[in-house]
This record gives sequence, C-alpha cells and structure tokens, in this order.
Amino acid sequence: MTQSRNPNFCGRTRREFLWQAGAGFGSVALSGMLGNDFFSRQSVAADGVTPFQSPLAPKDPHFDPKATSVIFLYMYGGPSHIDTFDHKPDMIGMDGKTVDVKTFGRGGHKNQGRIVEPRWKFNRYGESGQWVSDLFPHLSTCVDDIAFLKSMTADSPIHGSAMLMMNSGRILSGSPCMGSWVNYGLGTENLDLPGFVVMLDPRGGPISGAKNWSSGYMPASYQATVMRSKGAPILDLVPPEGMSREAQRDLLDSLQEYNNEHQATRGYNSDLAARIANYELAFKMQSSAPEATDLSQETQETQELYGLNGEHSVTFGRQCLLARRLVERGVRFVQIYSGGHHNDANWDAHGDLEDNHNLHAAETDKPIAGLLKDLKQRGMLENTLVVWGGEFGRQPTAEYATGSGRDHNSYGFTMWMAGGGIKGGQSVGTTDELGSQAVENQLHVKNLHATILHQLGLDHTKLTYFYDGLDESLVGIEGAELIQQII
Amino acid sequence: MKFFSLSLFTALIFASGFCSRMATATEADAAPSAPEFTAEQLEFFETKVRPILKSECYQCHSARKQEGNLRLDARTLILEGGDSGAAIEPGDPAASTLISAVKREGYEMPPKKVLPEEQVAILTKWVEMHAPWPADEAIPEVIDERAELQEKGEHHWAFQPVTEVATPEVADADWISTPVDAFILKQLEQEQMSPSAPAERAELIRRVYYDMTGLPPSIAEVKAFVEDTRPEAYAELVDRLLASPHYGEKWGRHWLDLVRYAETNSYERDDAKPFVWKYRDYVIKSFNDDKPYDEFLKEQLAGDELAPDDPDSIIATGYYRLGIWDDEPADRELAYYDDMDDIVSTTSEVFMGLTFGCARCHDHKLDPITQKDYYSLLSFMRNVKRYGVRSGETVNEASIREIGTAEEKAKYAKTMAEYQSRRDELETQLSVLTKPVVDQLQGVDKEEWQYENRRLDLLKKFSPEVISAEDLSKYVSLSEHLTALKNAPPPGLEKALAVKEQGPDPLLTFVLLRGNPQSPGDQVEPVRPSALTDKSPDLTEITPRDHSTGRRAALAEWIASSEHPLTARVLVNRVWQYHFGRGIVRSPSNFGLAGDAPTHPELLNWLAYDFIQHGWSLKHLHRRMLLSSTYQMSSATREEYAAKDPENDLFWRFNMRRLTAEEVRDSILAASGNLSIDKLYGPSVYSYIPEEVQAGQSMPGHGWGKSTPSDRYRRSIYIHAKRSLVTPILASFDVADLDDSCPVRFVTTQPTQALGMLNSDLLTEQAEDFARSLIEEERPADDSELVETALERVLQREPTETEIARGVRFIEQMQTEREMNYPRAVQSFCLLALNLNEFVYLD
Repeated sequence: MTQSRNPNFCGRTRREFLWQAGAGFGSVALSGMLGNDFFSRQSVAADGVTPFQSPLAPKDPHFDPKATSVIFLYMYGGPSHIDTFDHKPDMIGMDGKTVDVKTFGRGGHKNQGRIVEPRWKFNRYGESGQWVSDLFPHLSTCVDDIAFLKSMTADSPIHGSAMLMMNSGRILSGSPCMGSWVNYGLGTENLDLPGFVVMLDPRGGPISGAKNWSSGYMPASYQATVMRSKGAPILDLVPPEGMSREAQRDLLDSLQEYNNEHQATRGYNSDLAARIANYELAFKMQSSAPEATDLSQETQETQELYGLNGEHSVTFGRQCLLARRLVERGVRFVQIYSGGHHNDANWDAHGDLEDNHNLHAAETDKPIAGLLKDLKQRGMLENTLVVWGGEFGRQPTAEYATGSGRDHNSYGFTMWMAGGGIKGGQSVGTTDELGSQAVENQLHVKNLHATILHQLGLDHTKLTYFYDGLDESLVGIEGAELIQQII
Repeated sequence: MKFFSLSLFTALIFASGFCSRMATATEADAAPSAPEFTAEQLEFFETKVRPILKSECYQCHSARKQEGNLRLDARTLILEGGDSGAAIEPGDPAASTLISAVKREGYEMPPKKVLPEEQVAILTKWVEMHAPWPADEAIPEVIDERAELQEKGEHHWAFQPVTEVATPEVADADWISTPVDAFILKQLEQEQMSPSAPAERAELIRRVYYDMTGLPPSIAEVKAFVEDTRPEAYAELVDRLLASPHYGEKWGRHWLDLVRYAETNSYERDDAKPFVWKYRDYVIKSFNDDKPYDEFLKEQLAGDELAPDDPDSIIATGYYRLGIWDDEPADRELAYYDDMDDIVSTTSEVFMGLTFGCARCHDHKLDPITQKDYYSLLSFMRNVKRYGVRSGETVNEASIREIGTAEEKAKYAKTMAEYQSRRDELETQLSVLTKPVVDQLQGVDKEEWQYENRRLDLLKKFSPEVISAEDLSKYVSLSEHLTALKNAPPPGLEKALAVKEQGPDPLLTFVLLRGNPQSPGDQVEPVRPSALTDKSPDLTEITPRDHSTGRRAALAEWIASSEHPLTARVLVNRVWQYHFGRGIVRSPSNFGLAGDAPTHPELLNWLAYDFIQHGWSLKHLHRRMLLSSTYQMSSATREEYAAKDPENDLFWRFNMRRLTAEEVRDSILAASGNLSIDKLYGPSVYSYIPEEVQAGQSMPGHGWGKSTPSDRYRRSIYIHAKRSLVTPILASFDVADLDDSCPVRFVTTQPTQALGMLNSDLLTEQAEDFARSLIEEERPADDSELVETALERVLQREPTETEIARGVRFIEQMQTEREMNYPRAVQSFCLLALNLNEFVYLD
C-alpha cells in the first residue's frame, strides 16, 4: 500500500522518519501503520503543501483476496433466528409453557419466560441439508452456497448501540463503519461511483441514522453515499431545473479557464488541480451514476428473478439488482437495509411475530435468492461476499403476557455469508435447545468483521488507522480470530 | 521516602533476577551440545522460521516481554523454556510444546490468531531439523520497556519547564517585526535561506480577515487598505479585527472543535441537550472578552467549585456534558466508565496534549503514562454524575443547575420562602374550614377526598348541615386563590447545563484491570501523573465543597499553573497552527514521545513564556503572531526552496489554505447578500436540510425544526449541532466530527463537494439571490460592471479585464446558445463565481 505515493514528495514525512528512526520497539504495530500511505497525509492534512492524492485511489490488499466487493443485506430490527434458520425441534409443543431461561432485552434481565413456539415449519434443503423455515421458500434453494453462523453474539441487546457495533465494531458512536474501513484499505476501482453505498428502506432510515454509515474519525471521503433505486440516485446529482447538460458544460469550461489562470502561479499546490479534476469527475458521475442505476437495461427475466414483479418484493428487489450493477462497476461495499423507521416497519417483532416476519420475509426472500442466483450465473459470486443479518436475534420467550412478540437477544443469533470464497452448505456453531444463547463455537461480531476483511485480502490486525495516540482498527485492540470453518 | 526505598528494593530484586537468568543462559550457550547446522538449514531458519517467530511470537516472548518467563529469541532460551518447561524438543515436534501450542492442542498460541497450516508446517520442519540457529548469535539483552519510557520522559522536551529564552541574533535585523521573526529567520539563515517577500496587501487583508473572523472583507475595506500605505495601517486593521464580535465566532469555533461540542446525545433518540448553547455563547464571549486562558480553563474544569456564584463559571462546566450519551446502555457500569474515558481523554489531550486514553486498559505503549496514572486522573472527576440515567427528568437532576449571582440567588430564595409560606397559610385555612366535613367522611367519600377536584362536590353534599354556606363560599374563594398561586410560582433562576457531583465524599477509584469495571485492582488517589511529578507544581490542597469533593478545583489549578510544562505550550502551539496552517508541533494534541518534535522548539518555548508573562492573554498572543513579518509573507513558492524544504518546515513562505466548512457556507451567504451577521449568540437555528438527507433518519425530520429565513442564514456556528444529522455542505467540506475532539480538520477534495456546489438547493437558491441583488440593488450600467461586482464579492479584489470579459461572454452565451433569460444567465454566472478555486482558497 505504499506504491502510490507521489514521486515528487521527497520520501517520508517527519513523523514517519521519527518513528522509523526512533524507538525500535512495537515494530509489528508500527509496520502496519507505516505501510499505510494515507496516514502520512493525515498528519499533515492541513499544511497546504502535501501533494494531493485521492484517498480513494486503489490500493493493494495485504494478500490475495477472495472477494473484491461486499453486499451486506442488513435486516434491521433483528430477525428471529429460531423462526428463520436455527431449527429448534425441542420447542415444538411447548407453546405457552413457562420455563426458566435467562434473557436480556430492552425489557431488562429476566430469568423466566413463556415460550413462543417457532411459528413456521422447518425443512432441510440442498445437498447439504441446511434447515430453513417456510419464511424463505426462494432462499431455501440457495443454501449450498451459504454458510450459516448460528452462534453469533453481540455486546448489546439495544438497537442504538447494537447497530453501531454491527456497523462500526464499537457500541460507542464515533468510529468508522465497515464500508469506510474497506475503502480506506482498498480504495475503489471506479472513481466515477462512490466506493461505499448505502440503500435505505423507503419507510425510513435505521435508528441513529447517518451514524450507521459514518466515517467517524476518518475523513469524509470514506463515508457512505446514500443511493436511491428510484428518482435521482444520489443527492445533488441532477443539475437544477433550467441548467441543461450543455449549459453546465459551458459553465465548467469557463470555470476552468478562470481556475487555470489562478493556478498558473500556484502550481505547487496540487489541491487546486485536484479540485479542478473533481469537477470533471462530478460531471462524469452525473452520467455514470444514472447509467449504473438504470434497471431498465436489465432483461425481463432478470427483473423477475429479483422479484421486481412482486408487490412486496419490488423495492428490495430493485435495491438488490442495483447492488449487483454497482458491484459489477467496481463499487466496494454496498449495504442495503431491509426495514426502517420504528416498530413493525422493520424486523423488530415486539408485537405480532407472524405479521411482522411474514411481511419482511415476503419483501426480501425472492430478491435475495435472485441476487445469489444472478451473481452465480454471471460468475460474480466467487468474488462478491454477501452477508445477511441484523444487529441481534430474538428471544425464545414472549415479551409480554399475551401475544407472540419476542424481545431482542444478543446472547445468540444467526447470520449468514455466501460467495467471496466462503465455503457454503454448512452451519457453524449452535445455540441451546431454546436458541436463547450461543453454546458451541461462540462467535462474536468481531469474528465476523475479521473474516469479512480477510476475504477482501485485508489483515484485520494490520488495517489500522492512527488516531488519538492509538492504532485503531475495526476489530479493536484485542483482536479476533477468523471464522476458519467457512474460509 | 519510605515508598521510594521500597520501590528501589523491589527494583533491585527484579534486576538481580534478570542477572541470574542471564548467567544461566550464558552457561547454556557455552555448553558443547549445540549442534552445527548446514548453510542450507540456516538459510531455511532465516528466511522461513525467524520471520514467523518475529511477527507472531516476539510481542510476548522476547527481550521486550517474557510472558510465562519464556523467550523465543535465542536458541538456548528456547531450549531452557519458561514456566511450562522447554519450548521445543529438538528433532521431536510431537514432544515440543511450541508445536502443540501453534496447533492449538493444549496451549493456544498465538492467542488471538490461528497460524496458517503452512506456517505450522515450517515450524514443525524446523524442530525436526533440530532447530537450526546461527551458533555465534548473542542473546539480546532484556529490555525493560517501562523503565525505558520513563527514562525518555525524564528528558522529553515537552516535559521540561517553560523558561525565558533570549531572542536569537540574526543578520537581517530589518526583517524583524515581532520577536517571533527572529526565531524563524535564525533557522532560515542557518540554511542560507531568506524569507519570502511580503504578500500583496489585498492578499494580506483577505488572509487576516478570514483568519480572525472567518468572514471576507468588503471590497471597500480592501481598497482602502490597499491605498493606506501608512506603516501602522496593518496594526490598526489587526486591532479592529480583534475588537470585532466576529472574532469570538471564529476562534470560539476552534475551541468547540477541541471539546467535541455538539448539542445532542447520539444513539437512538439523539435528543437535544438542554441549554447547551449557553456553553457555546460562553466560549464565544470568552474569546471576545480576551478572558485569560488560565481562567477560561479553570472555569470549564471546576467553575462550580471555584466560583459557584458566577453564572458564567457554572455554564462553563457544561464542558463535562458535551459528549455522547447512551441512555439505555447494555452495561451501565461500563457505560459510566466509557463516559469518564471520554472526559479523561478529552481533558488530557486538549489541555495537556497527552493521550491518556491509551492507558485505560494497560500502560501506555508509547508514553510514560501508566494505567495507574489514567485512573488517578479519573479519580479527580470520579464523583461527577453521569449525564443522566435514562429520561429527561434524570438529565435535569444530574446535569441542570440554576445559576445566578449570590445576590440573585438570595433574592430568589427569599421570594420562594415567601411564596411557600403564603401557600402553607392558605392550605391551613382550607383545612380548618373543611375539618368538620373531613372528620365525618367514610368509605367511598373518604377515598374521593384525596382528589382535589372532587372536594367541592363532597363539601356541597354536607352543606349547610356540617359546613355553612358562608364557609363553603369562603372555601371556594380560598381554593381558587391557592390554585392561582400554584399556577404562578415566582420566575425561577436561569438554568444551565452543568456539572454536578455525587457529594463531597469521594467515591473510591480503582485501577480497572484490562479496563474492566468488574476487575478492580489497586485503589488510586488523586495525584499528579508519574511522568510529571517532578516536573510540575504541587497540587493545591483538596478542600471539599458543599456538594462536591473539591478535587476538580485542585486539578484545574494544577493544569492552569504557569509552572505546568505543557499547558501554555499546547495552547500557543494551537494558536500558531490556526494562524499558520500547521503547528510548530504538528501533532497538536499529542506532545508525548510519539508526537512530532517541534520544528522551532525555541520559538515554542519563547511564545509560551511570553504568553504566561502577559497574563495568558490570547489577544496579546495573536498580535505577536499577526504582526510578525512571518505572518505577512507571500504564499508564492520559490523553486529552489520548494526542492530543499517541500513541506515548508522552516516557514520560508506562508502556507495557502482552503476555507473551512463554515467559512465556505458563510461566504456563499455573504456573497448572495443573505448572511444574517448582526445577530450574535442565542439558541441554535436550523439550516435547510433536504428531504433526501432527512430520509436517513429513523423518523425523518425528527429533531430538526424550521427557522425563519433570517435565522436560517445565520453564521454556521449557530446551526444546531445534531450528531446524527449534519448540514450537507458542512459535512462535505470536512466539518469536525462531533463525537471526538478534533485538533486538526481534514481538508479533502471529493466529487460530493463539486456536486453540492453545482447542483444543491442551497447553491441554486443563493446563486439566484446573488443575481437578484446584483441586478436589482447594484443596478450596474452594463454587464462588465455586473461581472466586476460579482467577482469582487467572491474574490475581494479587483478583477482583471480578461476575467471581466470572460464573464460577460459567458452571460451572453447562456442567453444566445442556452436559451436562458437574462436573470437566469446572470444566476449561472453567479454560480460559476461561487465555484472558483480562488473563492475557497486563501493565499
């Protein structure tokens, strides 16, 4: 990652020099840091003399990557694992029984609860015989490509902090999100499009809004761009009414004449040239982004594969199809939210479990299956890592005296990954007989993060960013093991 | 003394332990059993094995660290092994602990990473080969990292006292305007270099205007300054700018960046912090009033303990309330320590330039700051209540104080006492009147009596038998009187967001092992950090206050002391950075061992000393810098110098800079004539945020109101700082992230900026207003005059004829070729003008 340094720049910055020449200790941590060319710019970002370099210029990974892009299907609100993929046959017939079980959700700590029996039937699918409930008839045909992680745990059972954990690795707000880390580590191959894209549910954003796609303490270049699958795809992409493309071209040409004059005596400040170039890039984006988002270029067959003909599945289907088109064009990290706003507008089934999950499964089942199949038939699944899951799962017991609503559960839940070098057709880890907590092969969100980075060719212990006197990383100072079974 | 001798004793034992260990190693080394290896085997070791040992094992098992008393950086020590015996059995991988550990059979090493199979195979093969290792390699000597760091800290430049330094002698004495110049020139002369020529006057006034107020000068001011060639003209300009109320708005913003000022809590609700804007106003006013920095610092850290009857001192302690707050944390105790960490880290970085946050879980890896130092610093603030527990009421309880002068408070107390006694009196009269009835009440009636609004009906039921009609009407009038009184309590004291403590008795503070609240270690006391104990003044005695421990006051007095080696240095360096684009120390919040060394150490020392000598006056400090020839140099480059010193380490010229996010927005509004500049201070306002951006909120539009146009166009510092919803133009031009202290803003160049500057609602609207004000208010004679005025507004200089002609042609072209009407064509030119590089860059 040191190759792209501007040749005019004479060697190391003062800070690098000090560190290289200074104390020889901690060399392991430091070498990761020094391998990072952006870091040197950061320390002198405000000096106006360091040559400009796009922070998103492509960079070499640490080792050969299996995946080049990630599509994270974020099931906001927390889908119930025992109603989707984590089959609990022992619970059949137990509905309504009060059992001793430790739970911790928004309703606090409890030691007892009334069982809500899983509401959907489970069957084995694929050659590998993975369990899937009736909620996902389409997805069940893809299980041989999927590795299910059934022993996930997280640090918080509360949406706000748990979402920050899933997206940025910490329960405290202020850290960069996974997509920011990936773009920081790898840059993007297509500067005409953003490197980190988020698509939201039309019902609203997730809790904490933009904190979920923020670049935290990294520069704004690494934050996500929100893209819409209908209308203008990106904020401020379309010139205002009355400004034709030709008129805007004239404006930019004239602007450049002024800027060239201004720059003539200030050529040493490469930011000025960069700013001129950025206007051209923006101009190009105005045509390349609508092209990327123009789903009418897709065949009827493809559109139907993603469920664009279905009333419930059309929105998420459009977003999944758009995600494939973006990945095809070199976008590194795409995150799509299933569910938004509050209450039953997302997977947060506190009230009627069946209504809630039937709705959200119907919205996403066909689009997700379509995405996996489409990626596969185009040979893209090999290098596109698809991740599915929410910020936590749900409890085996009822939240209230009546009804089927389940409270949050961060002690055990299911996520899955497919493509991007993941060995599909298997399940890793288990929860107890009620699915109340992870038992075998406990996995933490940090393991998931480390594994995602690994598939992209990034060593999570070396992808660091020097901030506040510390080498910060997505996974944190304590590190985390990769999920070896699936890679 | 006792403590000292004890620790010396321990150190001796420790050292002797090492000695004996080294002796054993040497004996083993000399043992004849060491086999001879082939060059090929040694090559295998060097290229395959040693790199693995180095990258995967030496962090814990080498001369630096000996976990389990095991070292893997010498063959003899590997054979000797550690607590669990020999690490390898040469020739027998199956019997080698090292091999079983990396295979994760028994021990699991390295602990956080499973070695790939290839690496395990390499290590196995190496053991099979009897562990080849160069025979003549000496055993590296044990290194005590902590002692090494402490030793470095002893001599570290930033920990030495701030002393008086003489200004250096220079050859070109004519260039010296303030003593600052002598230091700069001295280093240039040492390199046989000379400073750049002075900047053009138009460049200089634009530079200093933005620098001191964040706003452009008017073209009239520029012209007057260009023509006023009196030598004192510039100093007078500097005085005017320092006296401007907009100075506080610009420089207060720097401070707000440092203390991560925001007006909401983040997380699910991201609710507004009550009265937080008073802190922002306090900061702006403090700069405008040239409040001495030591006082400014003390008010924020302990205003409540040092001057409880000064409203500003209470508002200043809002400092403790600016951070993020998770109102439903998964682990309350951890959340408390997370909040404390936020305060400890911010306080140590901002005021002292030390990164204490790194020592929360373990001793600092790069600085002589121990974990004990961290918790000791925390103990000064240990009694500070958490921002709230969950609800708004709990925030009121923990973080809202009534403020007033002693007089106001006494007056209020008296009024409240009178009010209460009036109420008590009425209550008594009422109970006397109703007593006969109350005594008779039974069953449901008795139950109902509890509800005040049912009482009259009950009384009527017993009237006139038990209560006379006269008494009944008396009751009615008295109770109406009471209700009126209850509904109109005397106006309360003003409120502020402020610090509150658990009381005067300090809660105990413990070192938390690995930062875990469930694993308390040794108890700590509020003492000075170990690295500064011999290098800073004593703490003043800690005197408990009525409601707090008095510890923060002692901390504040210590940090604000003129004897403290860091406080003044850190501050003058920040001020230098904001004026010159980078600090004398480039890492402004890290003056520790891993921070950057000062490029001009003597100058930094001189400035710090001079600053303290002049009563910590910021305006004095500004004058020292602004009036220097160094500040007034041109930013133009000189090729031979650029080759020699590309980073301008020596300050041979001034550095160009881009406008900050706030300056970009405020300047756009100024150009269009919309900026509401006269209104200062007050509650925050809501800028326009497009629906597409609000759609990212879980409840679109929540917590974002609509301000009147004149409020909406106020300066950016007054925009409501909502953590999860940042005004797009500010976000894209690198406004400070609101969650952590920001000592240096990023300066990115990215397409989002260009898109926003060309297409956003804001720019479209402002370009339209810009055009309208040109056409309707300026009433130019022709397009040349119009273009000239437009360019003057954005560039604050007289444009050239070529520039004017180009603009006229463009307006013409828009009308003839692009079918725009005249106002629209002018609007397009205004948009162009707002996109000029020169508009957002200063020379």
